[in-house]
Amino acid sequence: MLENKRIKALAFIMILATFIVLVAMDFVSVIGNRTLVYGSTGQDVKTLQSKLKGLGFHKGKADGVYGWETLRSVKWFQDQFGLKNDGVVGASTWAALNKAKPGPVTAQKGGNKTTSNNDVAVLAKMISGEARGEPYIGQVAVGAVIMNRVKDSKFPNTVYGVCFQPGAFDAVRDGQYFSPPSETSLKAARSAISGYDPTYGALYYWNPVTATSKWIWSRRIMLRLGKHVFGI
Amino acid sequence: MRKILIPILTVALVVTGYFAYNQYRMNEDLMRRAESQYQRSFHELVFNVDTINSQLAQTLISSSPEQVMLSLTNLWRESFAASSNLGGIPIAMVELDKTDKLINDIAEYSYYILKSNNLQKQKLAEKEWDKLQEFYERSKVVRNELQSVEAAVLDRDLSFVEVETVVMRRGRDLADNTIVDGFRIIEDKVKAFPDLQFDEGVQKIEPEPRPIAGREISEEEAVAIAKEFMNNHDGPITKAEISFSAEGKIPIFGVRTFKEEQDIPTYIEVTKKGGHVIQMYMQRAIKEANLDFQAAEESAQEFLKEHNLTGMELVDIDTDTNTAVFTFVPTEDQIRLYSDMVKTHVALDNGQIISFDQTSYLAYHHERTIPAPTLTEEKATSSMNTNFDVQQVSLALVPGEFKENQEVLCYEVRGKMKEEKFILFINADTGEDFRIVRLTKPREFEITVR
Repeated sequence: MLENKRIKALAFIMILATFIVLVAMDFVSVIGNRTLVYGSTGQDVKTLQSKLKGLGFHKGKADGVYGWETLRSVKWFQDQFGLKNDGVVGASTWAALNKAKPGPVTAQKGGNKTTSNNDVAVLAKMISGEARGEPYIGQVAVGAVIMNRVKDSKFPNTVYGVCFQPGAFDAVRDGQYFSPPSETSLKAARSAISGYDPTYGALYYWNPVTATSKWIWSRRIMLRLGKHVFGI
Repeated sequence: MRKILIPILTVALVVTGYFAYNQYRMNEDLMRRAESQYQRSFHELVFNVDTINSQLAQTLISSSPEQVMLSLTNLWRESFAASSNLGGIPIAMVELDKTDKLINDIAEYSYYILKSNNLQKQKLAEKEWDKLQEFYERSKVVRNELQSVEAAVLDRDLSFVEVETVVMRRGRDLADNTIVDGFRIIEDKVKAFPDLQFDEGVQKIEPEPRPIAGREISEEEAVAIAKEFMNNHDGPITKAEISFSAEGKIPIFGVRTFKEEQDIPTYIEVTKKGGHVIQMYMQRAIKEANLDFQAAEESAQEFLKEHNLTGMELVDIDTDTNTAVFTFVPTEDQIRLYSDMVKTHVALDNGQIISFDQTSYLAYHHERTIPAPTLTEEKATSSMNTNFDVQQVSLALVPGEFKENQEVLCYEVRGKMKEEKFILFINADTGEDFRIVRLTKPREFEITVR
């Protein structure tokens, strides 16, 4: 009998706790500073989405589900406003969202659209995914390695062939490739396609800190640029 | 209490279970789709290599020139497909240099024979026959090994997705590691053969850079050179330091310079020999374009003159909304020297050169003695296709494809057919079309940037 009572009490406490948490979350979501991450749902996600939409960063629906599309929009927003683009909507991102006014971002930058052909676009997305945050010369270098591969007989003969070779580039695997390229990376891509090559013929580059393949180290290293080393 | 709790929990469990099952099904579905792509590439690869092998055999036994030509064409096509299919399977973690090279050598050699021999009249030369014999032996080894792997893949339902997820990503071996081991064995066996020596003529050219004049400079001198360069180009430099050093074909020091109140550096590459500024990369925000191409070209020419690059002719423009890459070549006796290109990337807001690359110029430019063309301009262009509307003709020295014709004197004929723009390079001695280059730029479209 006592056992039974204890279980009942426990269950009651748990339900109460859940209830309190839910209510609290709802309450927080109203004032809008709960930290949102990929997978979050609720009224505040809706608020986030409509704010992003108003600012021109979100094209999808404001459905209250923090999904893939929302993640992309948040990262893009964070990137534009100099925040860490981790997709986590914390205090700083909320503050930036509340401060941002629709329009001026795009107007300031002279329109966040530019023109490109398909080769340049693919290359730019790749550079953006692989070498964002690297100095410009490092971005051209990554593009040049891809172009050197296109020219080299050991690799596929097109930009896409090289970029989408299974396992060749991390950016394709972890999905960083699948978001808009930065303006700098587009310039870097154009330079690389017209033949600029700061690496003088490198076919490989890797990050010495994170490289997993052992054989990559058998390559002759030609230079170190930013966080990458380049070799043949 | 329990009366409410149990149904709620049951419903929650069912919903979770359904959700998980759905996720699992979707995941399986995606994996199967990836697997079928990989399987296709792999089986096609085996087929390609088998065809290469049999076409080589056919070439070796055939005595009719037409048949040989057909086989060589097939060889060229199949080896191309083989390379592409090899690039389509997830084995990036296995070193396949020699295997790749073998497939590629077959492609290039058959292309070379096709291009250089007039097979209608003559048979394969002795040394060509020997080379094909070598290819045959080697490709047989690759084919046999690939077929063993294929048999295992079919018999034991080996999965390339597993290779990808376990071996490639996590670096661990599979319990049945036949696929990966098979490719390793192929590479080892191909490696065991001695390197094939090709005639000078057959090798695709990658001409050796000419030694750069001047003495070896020190790091300090490189910094000083870069600093002076940027002082003239972009105003006072507050800080300059060595950033990297490279020992490639042209050894260089990489220097970065900073301007006051600017934390994004400009990178300048200075050759260790002679201390030439060979490349430069500035990074800055570029405002709206307000220069036309003519003004931009003038600005680029001005920049080249400042750096003693005179007599340069503009041969190509590649542009986006607010920058343009101009490619220039030097001339000698009004002959354009295409091997010695210089590239400048111009910001169209104020005409500043934001990057610059004179690697080819430094590596290849020298005084040449170019013999006068055998054919006159009228003669060379007289037999041209009437669909081609000629707009401009000049003389050009063009790098060839193979070592035996390193540089070829051509008439460079620019013109168009309907809206398509081309350059036709016509051999100035034989009157044959040496190369056709399409100038029409690929279609540009709007793209969102962040």
